[in-house]
Amino acid sequence: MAKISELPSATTLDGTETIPAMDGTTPVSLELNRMTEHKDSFTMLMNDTSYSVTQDAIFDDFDNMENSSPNANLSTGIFTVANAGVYYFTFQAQFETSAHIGDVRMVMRRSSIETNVSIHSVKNLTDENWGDMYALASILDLQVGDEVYVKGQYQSAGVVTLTRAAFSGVQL
Amino acid sequence: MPKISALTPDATVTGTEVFPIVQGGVTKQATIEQMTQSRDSFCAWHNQSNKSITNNMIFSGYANYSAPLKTSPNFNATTGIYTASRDIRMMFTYIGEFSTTDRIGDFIMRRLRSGTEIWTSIWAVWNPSLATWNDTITLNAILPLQAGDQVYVDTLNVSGTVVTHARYQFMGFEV
Repeated sequence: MAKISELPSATTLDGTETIPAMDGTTPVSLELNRMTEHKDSFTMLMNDTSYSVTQDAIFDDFDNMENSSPNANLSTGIFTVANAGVYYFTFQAQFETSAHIGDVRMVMRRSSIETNVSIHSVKNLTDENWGDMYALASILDLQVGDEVYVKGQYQSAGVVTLTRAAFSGVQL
Repeated sequence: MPKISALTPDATVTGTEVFPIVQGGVTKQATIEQMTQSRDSFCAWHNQSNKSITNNMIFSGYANYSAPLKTSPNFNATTGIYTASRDIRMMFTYIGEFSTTDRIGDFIMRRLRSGTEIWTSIWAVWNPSLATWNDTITLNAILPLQAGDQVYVDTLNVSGTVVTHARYQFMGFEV
């Protein structure tokens, strides 16, 4: 980050620095924010050998947060928008199961209304025990209070013998 | 966007403004950019049964391209083509899911500049053994683009087939 005292003319600043500026005779403290330093992000992880799936349930009960945010809840699996803006979300998972899982979808909920923003079907085609991996992603223009999570659809209740998943989001 | 003349002490400035800073008798200029306003991004997805896949077919006709999905004037959901409006570096992702009994072929993310295409990411989609199957592909690329460059995903080595179900997404954001 360039120091104000080292700036040549017409320099573009980024980073965070409080500098004195003059507006008439009144000193003004001006803070320059590099937006990326203040933008929200998270990654929550799951590595489970006995994960129960049910119809229309949110993928929750993640194990840990690799990149923590106060707005991402491990227990519920829900990210709640605190700063309005554009966000990039990804969800990658690997399943091993003999159960029928159905579709997995990324959902944005605003004022109790859900909107699908990415969908992938997870199918057991022929094998009794099988594995599948898939990815969901989306770029969303969000408002404060919007919620983003991943949930199932058309499932039969069952137990997944291996679930590895990562749910991430970053404000762009 | 607050003007420098309207700032209160300890105000945080966003937006874009060039203003003079005087220090030690020397006038300097600083530009403040609100990155979320200046950075480009988009996201579209499509869901279709019985879709024909033909050779050199650009994935297009994205039916889902409205709020809350991020839209951009530089991405055409009808043609499936992103066109750079300025020199820019973009991260692109394509995710596709297909159910079919046939081999499909290769999916390629391409950049078109001055009439010349280059491959930026490629993945084969084919049926190894199952009578009915499902395959997922992901293409990713970070591309430095010049104004007028186009980016899209199309097919190669496809003899023509109909997939029973297709879902595909195309998105990108400035990095």
